[in-house]
Amino acid sequence: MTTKRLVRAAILLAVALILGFLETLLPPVFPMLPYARIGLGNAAVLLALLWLGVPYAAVILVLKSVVIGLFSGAPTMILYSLAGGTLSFAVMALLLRIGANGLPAVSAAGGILHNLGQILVAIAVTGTAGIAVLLVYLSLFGAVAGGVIGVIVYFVDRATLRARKEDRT
Amino acid sequence: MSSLRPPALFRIWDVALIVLLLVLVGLTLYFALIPSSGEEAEIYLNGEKVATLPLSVDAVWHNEHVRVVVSGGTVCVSESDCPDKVCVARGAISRAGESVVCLPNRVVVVITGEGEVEAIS
Repeated sequence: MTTKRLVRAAILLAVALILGFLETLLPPVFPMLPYARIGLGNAAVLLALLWLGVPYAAVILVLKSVVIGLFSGAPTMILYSLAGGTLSFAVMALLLRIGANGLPAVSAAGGILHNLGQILVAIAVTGTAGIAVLLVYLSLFGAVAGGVIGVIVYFVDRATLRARKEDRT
Repeated sequence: MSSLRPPALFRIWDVALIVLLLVLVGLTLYFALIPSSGEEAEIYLNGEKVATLPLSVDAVWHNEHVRVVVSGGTVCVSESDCPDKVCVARGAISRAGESVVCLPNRVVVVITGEGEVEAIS
């Protein structure tokens, strides 16, 4: 069973890296908000949370942020990515453990907190509180993108339910 | 993970979660933006500073071409004899880093203070 989990973690990390890296190649969704990204890679992190639990998912999250930061030639993004990712990860893990919310809402919360974390780091780095204005747009965008990813993850989880059940010993 | 409830598309607590997040974002905005409203309006004529008006005190500055009005924490160019009236159309500004420019009359009004957004964006 451990080998199976390890392989699954490796596949999910690969998926997270590919989706995340593809996204850095695409032009920004909104030209005036270059930092608003859909966060496709987070679908893999959320699946890892569901299937493999917090420790595996945490490793995938950290590796994803670091590797994509290095690959895309923007290592300074790692700081922002890790700050947003950690905040969003902690809240999503907590919400899943509580179990009172649907996946899209959990994912939307993750999306909003990802942006919140990044903005807080940006304020700390630049010493400019005014950047918080961006939160109005980024939160809205993060909520919608996170919600969509939550729906995707929900259907991926359902579609693979039988296959994963048969694996259990 | 057997300890997790099976995923759902919607649960009733989602409503509470969304409200909570809205409040969180609102609070962050509120606290981050308080200090960023400007403190003083600086008026430049031909590139030289000719006046510094605190936004907290209503005041009027004018020369033969333009009239700059500070009112209720905002500043605007209320009248100008320039042909395009871009400066008047700019309306009232109040945040640090914002500016009103009247090119024909070579008048620039800039707001100074903490957190000048446009300085970095």
